[in-house]
Amino acid sequence: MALGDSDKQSDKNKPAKTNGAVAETPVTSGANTESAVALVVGIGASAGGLEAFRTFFQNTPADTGMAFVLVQHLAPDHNSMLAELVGRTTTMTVTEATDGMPVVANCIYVIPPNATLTISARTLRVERPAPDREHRRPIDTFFESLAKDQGENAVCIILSGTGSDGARSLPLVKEHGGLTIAQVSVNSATGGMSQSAVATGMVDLVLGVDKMSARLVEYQRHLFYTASQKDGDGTRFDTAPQLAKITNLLRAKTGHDFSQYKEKTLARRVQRRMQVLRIDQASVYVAHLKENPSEVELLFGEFLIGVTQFFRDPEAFGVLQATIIPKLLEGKVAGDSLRIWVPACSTGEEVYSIAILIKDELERRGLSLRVQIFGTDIDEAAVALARAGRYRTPMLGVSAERTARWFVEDGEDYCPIKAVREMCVFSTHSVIKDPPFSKLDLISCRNLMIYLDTDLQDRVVRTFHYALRPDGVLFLGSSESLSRNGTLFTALDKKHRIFQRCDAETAFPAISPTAAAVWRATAPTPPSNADQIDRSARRALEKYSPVYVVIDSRHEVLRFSGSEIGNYLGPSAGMASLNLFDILKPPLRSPVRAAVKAVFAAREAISNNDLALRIEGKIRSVTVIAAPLKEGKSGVGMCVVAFQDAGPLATRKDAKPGDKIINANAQAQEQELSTTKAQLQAAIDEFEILTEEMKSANEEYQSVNEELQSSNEELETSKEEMQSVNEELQTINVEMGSKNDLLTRLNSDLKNLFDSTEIATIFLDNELRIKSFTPGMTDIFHLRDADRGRPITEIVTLLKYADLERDVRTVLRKLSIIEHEVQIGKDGATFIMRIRPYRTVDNVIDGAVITFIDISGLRRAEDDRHESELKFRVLADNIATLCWMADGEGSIYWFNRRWYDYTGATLEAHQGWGWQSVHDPEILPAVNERWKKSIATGQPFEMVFPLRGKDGLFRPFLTRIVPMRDAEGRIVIWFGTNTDISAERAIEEALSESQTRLKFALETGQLGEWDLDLANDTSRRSLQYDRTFGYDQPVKDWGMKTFLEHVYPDDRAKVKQHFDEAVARHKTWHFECRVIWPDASIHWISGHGDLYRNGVDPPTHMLGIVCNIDTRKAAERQAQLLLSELDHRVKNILATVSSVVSQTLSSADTPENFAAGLEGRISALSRAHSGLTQNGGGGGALGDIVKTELEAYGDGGHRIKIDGPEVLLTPKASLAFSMAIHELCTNAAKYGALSTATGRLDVAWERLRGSDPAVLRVVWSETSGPTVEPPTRRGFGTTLIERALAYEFDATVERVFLPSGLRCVIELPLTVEVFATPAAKVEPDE
Amino acid sequence: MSKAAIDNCIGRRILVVEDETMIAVLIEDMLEMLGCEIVGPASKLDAAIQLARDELIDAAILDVTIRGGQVFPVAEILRERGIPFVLASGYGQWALPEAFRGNPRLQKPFTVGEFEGALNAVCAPRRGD
Repeated sequence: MALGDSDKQSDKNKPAKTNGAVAETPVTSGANTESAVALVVGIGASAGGLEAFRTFFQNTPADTGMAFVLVQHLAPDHNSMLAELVGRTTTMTVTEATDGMPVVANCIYVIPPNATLTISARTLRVERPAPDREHRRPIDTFFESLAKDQGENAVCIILSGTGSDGARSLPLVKEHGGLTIAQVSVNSATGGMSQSAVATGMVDLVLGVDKMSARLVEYQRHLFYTASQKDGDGTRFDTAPQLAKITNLLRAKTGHDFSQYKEKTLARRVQRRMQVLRIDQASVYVAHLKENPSEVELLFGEFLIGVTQFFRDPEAFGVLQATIIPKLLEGKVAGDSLRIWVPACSTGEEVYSIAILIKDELERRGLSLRVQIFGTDIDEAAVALARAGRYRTPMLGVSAERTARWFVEDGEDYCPIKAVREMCVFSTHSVIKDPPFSKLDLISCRNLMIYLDTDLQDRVVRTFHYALRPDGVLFLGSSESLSRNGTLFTALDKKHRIFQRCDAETAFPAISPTAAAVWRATAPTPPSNADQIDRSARRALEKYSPVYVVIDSRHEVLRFSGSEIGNYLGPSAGMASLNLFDILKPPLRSPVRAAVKAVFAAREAISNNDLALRIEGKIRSVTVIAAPLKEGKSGVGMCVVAFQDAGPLATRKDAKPGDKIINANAQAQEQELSTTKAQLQAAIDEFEILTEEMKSANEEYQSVNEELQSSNEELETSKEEMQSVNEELQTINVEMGSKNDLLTRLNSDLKNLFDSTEIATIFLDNELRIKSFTPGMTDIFHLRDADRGRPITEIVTLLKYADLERDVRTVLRKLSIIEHEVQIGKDGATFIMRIRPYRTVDNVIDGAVITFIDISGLRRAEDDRHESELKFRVLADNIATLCWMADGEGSIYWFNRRWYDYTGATLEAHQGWGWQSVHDPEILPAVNERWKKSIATGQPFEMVFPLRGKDGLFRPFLTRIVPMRDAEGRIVIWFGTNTDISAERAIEEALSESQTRLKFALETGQLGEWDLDLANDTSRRSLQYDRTFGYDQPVKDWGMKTFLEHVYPDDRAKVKQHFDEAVARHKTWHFECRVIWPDASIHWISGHGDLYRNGVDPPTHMLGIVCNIDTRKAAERQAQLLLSELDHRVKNILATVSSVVSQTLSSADTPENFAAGLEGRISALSRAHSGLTQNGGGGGALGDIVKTELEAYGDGGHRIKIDGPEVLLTPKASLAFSMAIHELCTNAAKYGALSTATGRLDVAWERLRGSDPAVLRVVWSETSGPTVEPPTRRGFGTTLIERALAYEFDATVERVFLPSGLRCVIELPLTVEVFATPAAKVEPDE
Repeated sequence: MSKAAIDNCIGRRILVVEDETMIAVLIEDMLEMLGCEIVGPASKLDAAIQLARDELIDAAILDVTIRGGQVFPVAEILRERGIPFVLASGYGQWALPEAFRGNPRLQKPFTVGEFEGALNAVCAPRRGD
C-alpha cells in the first residue's frame, strides 16, 4: 500500500505550508496577503521547447502575480538565447537566473546553461557545473526543490520534449500539495516528456499550452480564497467533518477503508483534489465525488501517492545486510525456504532491494535456499509496475557496482537480473483487509503505519506478529513504532526499528475467525467511548437487570456488570485470558457459544432458559440472554451476554432434593459431559487455528497464482519475441535469397566474361585433375563435360607441348607462373599458355589455372608489318620525289635512292645535318631556322627552296616534312619529301599573266566574275560582282541562296529553274533578271555561268560572269514604249482624222472648201506630229507649235509677234494645242488680222505662278485687222478651239471679238497631263 | 443609220466616256443620229465615276485610257448596276484586264457602222424585257 511516505520530509515541510509561510516568504516589497499565495510556476521543456514557451507566454497576462521559472535542456557549452527569444513574446521581465536571485512576482527566470537550478526559501540557487549528461535531470531537480520550498504554491508544468525528465519529481510535487500540468502531446517525436509525465498518473491537468495560463490564474485565485479557511496546519476547517462521508464513499467504491488513516493526511489530500477542481466547499466536493465515479478513482490514487526508492534509508539497509540477513540465514540448510513479506511495496524497489541483499548473502555463503519475497500493495497500478520490474535510469540509491551486478540494461531501462526477479512475487493485497501471509522470516513494512491511527497500527502490528514465525524479524520505517504492542516484539536495533518476534507459542492470531468479513467494523473500542457503551448496555438490559458481560466479536470481554458475574465465570488453566469462553464456566460455554454465534449472525437478541448450573453448591436454573449492542458507532460488533438466576432447579420434578443416587449419577454424567465439552472446546480451538492457517495458505496460493499468471504473460512476451525472431529469420531468408540471386548473376557474368575474352581457361586441382574449364578449351584439348575429375594427363591434346605435367607440378611446387608460346599442329593457332597457381579467396593454393590466349592474329600482324615495310622501301626508292627520314631531333638517317641520284652524294656525306651542302648558302639560314622551329614545336614544315643537283644547277623544290608520333605523343620520325617544282613554276607564271589580262578585260567590261562551289553553296567573286548587287565593299558570304534572295521575287523562280536545268544537263546557265539593291532600288542584271569540270564528275564548281544591264533595259523599254505609243497614236490619229473628215464634210459647203479645210487641218495634225518626233517623241515645245502653225503666214516677223518662255508640252497637249492654234490661224487668215496686210497678231504666253499647279496663260491678240464679229454659227473650228482644250485639259478659253480684232485668252493648268518634264520622259508606262 | 438600230437605241441614255475631244464629238454626233440621249461626255475618271454612279443610264461607251487613269472602275460600277457597256480602245484585246476580256469592244479607229453595231448589240437585248 503505497500511501506515500510523508516521513521526515513532509513533517519538516509542514511549517512551510502553515501561516508561518506567509511571514517567511521573502517577497521583496509590497508583501500583501495575495503575494502569500503567489504561485511559483516551474516550466520544463527540452531543447526544442521554444515554440511551446512562446505560445505559453503569448497567452499569459503580464500581471498574474506569479513568477515563472523556465527550465530547459541546454547544451552546457552553448549560450542560450532563450531569455531573449521569450522576452519578445511578453512584457514581463525575463532574466537568466543567477545564484541568490530572489523570485519576484510577474518575472520570468530562465535556467542558465551548464548549471543546476534549484529554489530555496523563494530564492534561486545556481550550481555549476551541471552534472554529467547521464545524471542531468534539470527539470526533476528543480521541481523537487520547488515542491519542497513552495508546497501548495508550486506549479510544475511539463511541456513538449524528448526523454522523461520531470516525470520523476511529480509524486513529490503532489505529495507537497503542488499542482502538476502536462502539455497535450502533439506528436510522438516531441511528446516524450509530457507522455512520460502523464504515464506516472501524477499529472493533474493535461492541457494545450495556450490554455494553461487561464487555469493557473483560476487556480491561484482559488488558492487565495481558501487560504483564509485553513488552520495553522494548512488543513481546512471544513474538510475534517466531511472526511467520514468521503471515506465511506471510497470504501463503497474501492473496498478500501481509509477511515482510520490519519485525519490530517487525508484532509490535505482531499484539499488538493478540491484545489485542482477549484471546488471551494468540502460539501460540494462530497457531492462531486458522489456524482463522478472517476473522481473516486482519482482521489484513491491521490491517497496512494507512493514515494519509494532502492535502498531507501541506506543505514538501515546496512544493518539489515550486516546483521539481520546473516541472522535469518543462520541454521538454514540447502533446500530450506526463506519467506519474506513486504506489504505496501508500491512499485517494488524495496522488494528488489531486499532480494538483492539476500541473493548477495546467499552467494557469499554458497547457499541455495528457496527464497520467496511477497511484495503486496493495494494499488494495482503500482503492483503492475513492480511486476514489470523496469526502472528508468538513473536508479537513485543503487550504486554503479550494484547496477552492474544486479541489473541488465534494456533500452532506456534497467531490469533486475533473472535470479533476483525470480525471488520476488507481487500481488494486490491489503494488509488491513486481507488475511496475512504466514510463517514468515522477515516482514519489511516501512512508512505505512505513519498513515494509520493508533488502533489500526495496533492491529497491523498484531497481524505481523501472527504472520511471522518465531524469531521472525519485523523491519519498520524510521519514524514508526510498535505502538501498544511492545510486548510482542523485542528490539534488535532500536534506531533502525528492527524488531524480533517474541517467543509466543500461545500467541493467538490477531484476526478472529470472522475477521475477514467484519473486521473493519470491529475496531477496538476507544476508551473515550466508555460511558456511552455503559449507558447503552444498561439501556439494553433494563428490564432484565441481570448480570452481564459485554464482548466484542472476538469474544474478548470488554465489560463486566458487577461481582455477581463471578457466579458464572471461572478461570481456566494456562495463560490468562479475557476470552469469554475461556473464563465461562464449562456448562455454560456451549449454550452461550451457540447464542453468541446466533447473535452475531442475526443481530437479534436471543434468550436461552432453564440451563442448569451449580451455583454455591446448588443447582439453579439460569437463563442466558445474548443481545447485540446496536446503538452508536462504538457499539457495532459487540454483544452483551446476560445471566439471570431463575431460582433453584428444585422446581423441576426430576431434581427433587434427596434423590441422591440420581443426583450422584447426574453428577458423574455431568462430569463426563464437562470433560467431553472441554475436549470439544480444544478441538474447536484447534480447528479454528487450522482454518486460519488454511486461509493464510490460500492467500499464499493466490499470490503464487498471480505470479503464475505473470509468468504466463512473460511466456506470451517470449512468444512474441519468438515471432519477432521468426520475422527476423524470414528477413534473413529473403536477404539470403537475394544474395543467392546475386551470386547466380555473378556466376553468369563470369561465364560471359570467359566467353567474351576467348581466353581458354582450365582449372586443375593439386592432383592435376580437371575441376572445370571454359568452352574455348575444347579447341585445345579433347574435352567433354564428363572429363571433369579426370587427370589432365589422360586427355588427348592437340598441343605440340610435352612438358605440361612437369610445368604444372613446377608451378604448384614453386608457386610461380610459367608462360610459353605453344602452337596447335603445324599451321594451327598460336597461343600464349600461362600456368599459375590457383589461390582461393583465403589465399590457399588449391590447384592450378592454365590459360591459353590466342595470339595468331598478332603473329599475322607482325608478318604483315614486315611485308609492308619492304613495299615501302621499294616504293620510296622508285618514286620521283626525294624522300628522307629523320629521328625526333631532326637528324636524317635515311634518304631514298632519288636523293642520291639527284645530289650525287652518299649517305655518309648527307646523314645527320650533312645535307646542308646542297642548299643555296643565302637561303640556308632561313631553311635551318624554319626546320629547327618545326623540330622544337612539332609543327609540320613546308617551304620552297632550291637544291643543287649533281649537274651544279639549283632547282626549286617544294619541301614538306611531317612528324610521326608514338602513343605518348612524342615525335619519333620526321618524314621529308622534296618535290621538284621547276615545271610548275613556269606554268604559274604563265597563268598569272593570263589572269592579269582577264582581270583587265573584266574590269573594262564591268563584268563581275564568280566561282560558285556547288556542294557548299559558297563562292569566290570579284568586287565588280558585288557592285552589280549594289555593294561597294566585298560581301562576306555569298552563294546561290544569297543570290536568289537578291533576285526580284517575280523573277526568282525562273532564274532558279534555269540554274537547276543548267546544272542537271551540264549546260550553260544564262540569266537575265531584276535584282534588288540594299537601297531597295531595282536593277537589271544579266549573266551566264558554266560548270567547271576539272576532271571531276559531277562538277563541283560553276564559273561565270554577271553585269548590270540597266542602260540596255531602259533603252529597250523606251523603244517598246515608243512602239506602243506609236501604235496607239496612229490609231487615235486615224480616229481623229476620220472625225475631222466627217466634221469638215458636214460643215463644208463646197467641195473646194471641204478640200481646203481638210487639207489645212490634216496638215496641222501632221505638223504637230512632226514636232513631236523632233523632240524625241516625248512631246512638243509650245513655241515650236505656235511658230510652226504661223510659218505659212509669216513675213519676217513684223506682223506676227511670238513671245513666251520655253514650255514643253506632252504629246497629247501638243496635239490639242496645234489644232487649236491651227483653227485660230485659219480664222485669222479668213476673217481676222491675217486677212489684211495691216493686221497684226501677238501670241504671248507666260506661266502664272501663285496657284498649284501653275497656269499657262496664252494670249492670242489680233489688232489692226478688219472688224470682226462673233460667228453666227458654231462651226467645227470653234468646237476645236473651245472644246478641245477645255474638255481635255480643264483649260478655259475666252474669245472676245473686239473692234480691233479677236482676243483669245487660254488659261491652261500645267498638270502632268500638259506639262512635260524631262523626268516624265523616262517614266515607264503600263 | 439602220432602222433596226434606231429602233433599239432611240431614247436610250448613253454614258460617253472619252478624253479625245474629236472622238467625243464624233460619238456625240453618231448618238444624236441614233436618237440617243447623251450622258456626259466625261473625259476624266473621277467625273466618269460620278456619272456612272448617279445618273440614269441604259448603256455606255467607255474609252479605256482616259485622263486620270483607266476606265475600269467605271466599268465595274456599271457591271454592278447591270448596265451594258462597250469598251473602246486603240490597244488590242491583251490590254484589257481578265475580267473585261469578254465584254463588247470597239476597236479604234472605228467606223460609224462598227459603232452602230456595237451599240445595237448592248441595247438590243433590252428590247425584249
